[in-house]
Amino acid sequence: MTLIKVENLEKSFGDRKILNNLTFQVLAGEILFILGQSGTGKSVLLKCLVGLLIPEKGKIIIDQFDLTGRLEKDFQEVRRKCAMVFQNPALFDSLTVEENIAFGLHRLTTFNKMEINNKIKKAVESVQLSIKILHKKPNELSYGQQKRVSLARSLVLEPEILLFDEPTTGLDPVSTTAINRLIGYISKEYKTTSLVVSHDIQCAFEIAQRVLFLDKGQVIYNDSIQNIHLSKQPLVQQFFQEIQLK
Amino acid sequence: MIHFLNQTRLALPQTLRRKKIIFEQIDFIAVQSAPIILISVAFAAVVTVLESSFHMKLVIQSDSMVPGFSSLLILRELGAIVTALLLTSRVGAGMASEVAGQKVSEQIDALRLLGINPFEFIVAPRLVASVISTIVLVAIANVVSLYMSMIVSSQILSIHPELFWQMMNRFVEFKDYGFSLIKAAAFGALIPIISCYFGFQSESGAEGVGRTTTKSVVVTSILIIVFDFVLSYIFSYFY
Repeated sequence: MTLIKVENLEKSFGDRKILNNLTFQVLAGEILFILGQSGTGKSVLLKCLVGLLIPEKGKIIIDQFDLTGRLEKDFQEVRRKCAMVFQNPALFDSLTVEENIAFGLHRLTTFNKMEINNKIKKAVESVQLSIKILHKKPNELSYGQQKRVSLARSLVLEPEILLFDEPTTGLDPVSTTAINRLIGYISKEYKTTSLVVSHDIQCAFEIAQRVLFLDKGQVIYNDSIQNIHLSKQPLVQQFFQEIQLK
Repeated sequence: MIHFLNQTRLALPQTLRRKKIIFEQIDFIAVQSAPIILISVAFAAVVTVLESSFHMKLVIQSDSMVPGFSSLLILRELGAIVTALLLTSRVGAGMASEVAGQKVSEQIDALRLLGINPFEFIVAPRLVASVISTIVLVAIANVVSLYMSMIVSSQILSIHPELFWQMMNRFVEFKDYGFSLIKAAAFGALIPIISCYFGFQSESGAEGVGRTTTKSVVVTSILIIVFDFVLSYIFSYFY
């Protein structure tokens, strides 16, 4: 079943066209990796999917909900289904880890205190963090821990769709591997549809079911990761060669 | 800017639920700024008294009008404008860089994604806190400035405190206090609105945040002086 449908999407910043006639679909339960060089519109695409940016042209349909021409308040319906792990941890500095994770639960659900506490505990364990950090402020955590808390904050709302915007940027190789495996584990455990924006083709080989390769705002490859070596696109070949060299 | 103001206006009724943030901001704006502001306005009042005495002696060979003149100047101008400009450099700069930091670290996007209106969570509580804090600070600054003026007049100009109060009461009307607080409210609103507006527009990186802070402080300072003129002009019709 198609969960996300993007048709002829266009988005510009000033004279610079970031997304150019972009079309693709995502199936329910799929782990889709969006690869490409910096500045090709990968993060912009994710933000368009949840209405944080509004495209000039094209159509986005998420679970049969058409986002075209909607106002900010209309996006709440689709945002309840989606959670996004940003490039930065984007934790609220003034709140503790526990308050950060519970933030959306208090606002968007009717769970009582005990239910919220249980959900926080489960989310923290899912991202392999100790519950001892719950009372700490974000600035007391390492960058890797902050990324995991950000993931826990997204998971706790049990979204149908998880969007990851370069989840391993700024992490050391060990944390990168751990976060990549976590994405695969969480997608299976929570049965979410995951879109992962990344430069990390090695990670794509580990967990992606399909890869979307963007260049200049257009899709130049849309197939399984296993067939990537068959692509005739020079940029895709270049990425593939990089991993062979490694 | 019109969209920003409209969104802030719409968020104001909901923001009253955010008491924790409002109190934190009042602590940041009023409590933590109070020593700097009170010391500064006190010395500004001392200078006003000494300078007005010097000029009056030069022109009319008498400084007997100093208590009335300096009290009026303190209440109608000095208390509010010095407080507002000091708040701009301390609080406005802090707010602009904080909000810019939230923008570039995607905290504002995270709020929107969690269904929370950033205007309700960030802008409106700061606006409410800033207006309340500035009114309170200006009221206290006025009292401190007048008291300092009286002490300096007594110690340096040999004007007896009782005479100072008599002269002050002859010149100063109750509406002068009122107008001073109206100015305080207007300046108190300007500071968070301009700071948050520029914070929301911030470009990424340390340079972007720095530029945002500088622009915010410059624009707020200029607008405070322009608003001061506009309000003084309007108030002149009430005399």
